Amino acid sequence: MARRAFWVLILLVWFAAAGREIYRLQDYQIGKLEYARPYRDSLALPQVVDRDRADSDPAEEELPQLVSVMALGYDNMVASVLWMRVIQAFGAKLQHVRENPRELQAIENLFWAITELDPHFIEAYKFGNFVIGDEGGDQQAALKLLDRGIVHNYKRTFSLPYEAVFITLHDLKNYKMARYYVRLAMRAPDCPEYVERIENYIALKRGNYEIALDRWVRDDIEAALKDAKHILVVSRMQLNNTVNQWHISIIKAAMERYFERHQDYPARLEQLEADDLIGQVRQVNGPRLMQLLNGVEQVRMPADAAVDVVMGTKDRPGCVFESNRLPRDLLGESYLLVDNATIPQQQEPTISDRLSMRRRTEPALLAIRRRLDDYRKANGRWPAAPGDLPEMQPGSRELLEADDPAGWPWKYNPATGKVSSYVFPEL
Amino acid sequence: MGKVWAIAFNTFKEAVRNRILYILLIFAIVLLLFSGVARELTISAQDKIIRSLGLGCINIFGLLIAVFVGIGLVYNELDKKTIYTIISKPIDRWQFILGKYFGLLLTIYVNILIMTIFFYLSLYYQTFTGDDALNKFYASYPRGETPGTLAYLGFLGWAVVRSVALTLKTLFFFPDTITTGLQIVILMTCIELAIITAFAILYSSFSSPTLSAILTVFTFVIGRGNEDIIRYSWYLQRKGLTTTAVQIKYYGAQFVAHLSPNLKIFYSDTSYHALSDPPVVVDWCAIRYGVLYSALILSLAVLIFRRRDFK
Repeated sequence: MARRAFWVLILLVWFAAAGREIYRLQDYQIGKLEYARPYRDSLALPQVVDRDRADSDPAEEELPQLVSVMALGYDNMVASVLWMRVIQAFGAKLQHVRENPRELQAIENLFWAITELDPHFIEAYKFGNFVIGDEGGDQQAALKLLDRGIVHNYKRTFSLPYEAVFITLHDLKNYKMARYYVRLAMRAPDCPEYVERIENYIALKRGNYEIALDRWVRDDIEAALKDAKHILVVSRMQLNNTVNQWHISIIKAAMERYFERHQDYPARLEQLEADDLIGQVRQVNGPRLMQLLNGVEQVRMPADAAVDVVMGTKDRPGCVFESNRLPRDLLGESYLLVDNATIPQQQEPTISDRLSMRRRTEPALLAIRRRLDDYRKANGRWPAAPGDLPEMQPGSRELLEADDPAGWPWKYNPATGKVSSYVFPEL
Repeated sequence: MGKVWAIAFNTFKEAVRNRILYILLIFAIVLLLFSGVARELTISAQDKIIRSLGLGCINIFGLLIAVFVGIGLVYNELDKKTIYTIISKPIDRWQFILGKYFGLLLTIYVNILIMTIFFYLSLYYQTFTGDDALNKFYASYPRGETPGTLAYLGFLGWAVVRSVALTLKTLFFFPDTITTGLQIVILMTCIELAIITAFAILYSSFSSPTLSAILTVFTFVIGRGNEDIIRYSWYLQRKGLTTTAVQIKYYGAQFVAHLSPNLKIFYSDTSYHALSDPPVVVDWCAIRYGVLYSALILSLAVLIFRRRDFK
């Protein structure tokens, strides 16, 4: 009897101790649950999420969360099966996703379910962005999916914020958001160097020309220090681009003021300066910029100090200065008013830098000269005007322009067959 | 303990003669190999697909073996009256239950080992014959030249040899980047199945095989949905425990959540693949929980079995 009582006691102690420990461990596991998944009263599943309804949203509809409950812990496996399913579904309905919003929503729901089951499924977010945003045309929904991926994969990969940068930059034109995503992408250890340079483009797009210039100058100096020739080519090109965009924005503002005063646009840019419409603005001394940049790169000055030298400090002037004169391009040449010879007045003319206009004029001129030679060989004389060339007639396979890229007619001598540009007589 | 091992070993021998086991095993292996084929159905994340399908197969078939082999173990002894020859010997009933349990567990673990070998083989083979490897193979030939049938067979053969070698290496606890963390996931599956097996033994100690199977599957479902039961109770709490009915629901959910096994904790996320990701680590807390829970259920099974009258 005593033995039996002893064993009963032992059993009771064992059950109590083990039960208590299990309860404690279970409580510990419950405490680790990260978020409270919304719970529905019923298991009635909506077939598709109807985004036309104001209150309807995949995340709020709780459909993906329900899939997670029903996966019974086989979350990764079910996510993989749904992933294969969504690929097949998209393949089958590729042509119709944009035309039929309900099909797109059904596919979108699948992506929400997959990423709920496996929040670290990077490819699902990327492909979801492609299907919903690029193919379906719903960039906001795609961004929402990417946002979810970014939250769940913070600092794991640069690719998700990088995709979001493109949506915000090119489709939504929300430069502030684009900058935010660039910064997020840069926090990931696998982020390549070029992502940082996107911030330069964003600064340029937002009209922060001085910041953009500062960043490109830094990239140029760092590329020179690392002997990264391909980056050096890009940064030089972008420096030119930044300076041009900056200066053209100054000229355009002055032109608006000219229009307000005269109800017409100027025939020459110099008129803006003569009317003192430029105003005291910050602009870049292009030749000085190149001179300073080449100087610091030659002595291989450290990047921080070199940027100060090029951009200037309080005590020492750099390439940026204040002036009320017409800004000039990187080579110190004046900008061009394009099409002013042909377009009717009252229409805002285009402004271009000389370098890019020269680059466009040169091959156009070469093509005309070649065709003039061909004409002479065939007819034994030069044409009366460039317009007589068969290549300038409508319907010709190789259609040559009657005017130069700046909008001026070609300067032509029918006696000698010499053709040149009024804007670039040296060519 | 020697008697327990003797029964366990006999249970194992008996189980490996079970036809259901072989059907399940063959089906599992076919599915595991199919997970390699499944990569053709996806446009990227092939390794993730093979991994998740493979690990899922191992878990599901382990569970099926536990249920379908486990439920009949005790019942068959009673049904065929072989229990009389056992209990007439100097073997205590707890030794019989423990022996049956460890025998079944051994059967399940051997099956998991076999499935794991095929899983690793499939994983390595798919990697060595994947797009990257094939592109590399073709790139080794001059432009315009394609490898002949013999060269291609050689490539496949070499992939098989490497797969076998690396599978063996991984099995001896030297995983590489492809299989890192998978052993831990499989270890957690083993612990989870230990609990399920304990339940199968418990149910088969007092009920028919059909009822045991149903109860074991229900236990599994509740165990896997344990966290959702807790969330349900939180949901009720957020809504406010205003009426008695809601209060009963809340406390009922809390009670069930704490009483039923939390099988979700044995689930590991294997989709981590970035270099910066933290490695999959052994959750000792979950292991302790699993071992204790199994021991408690087995104690209960022993208690019930001791009181059972075989007349």
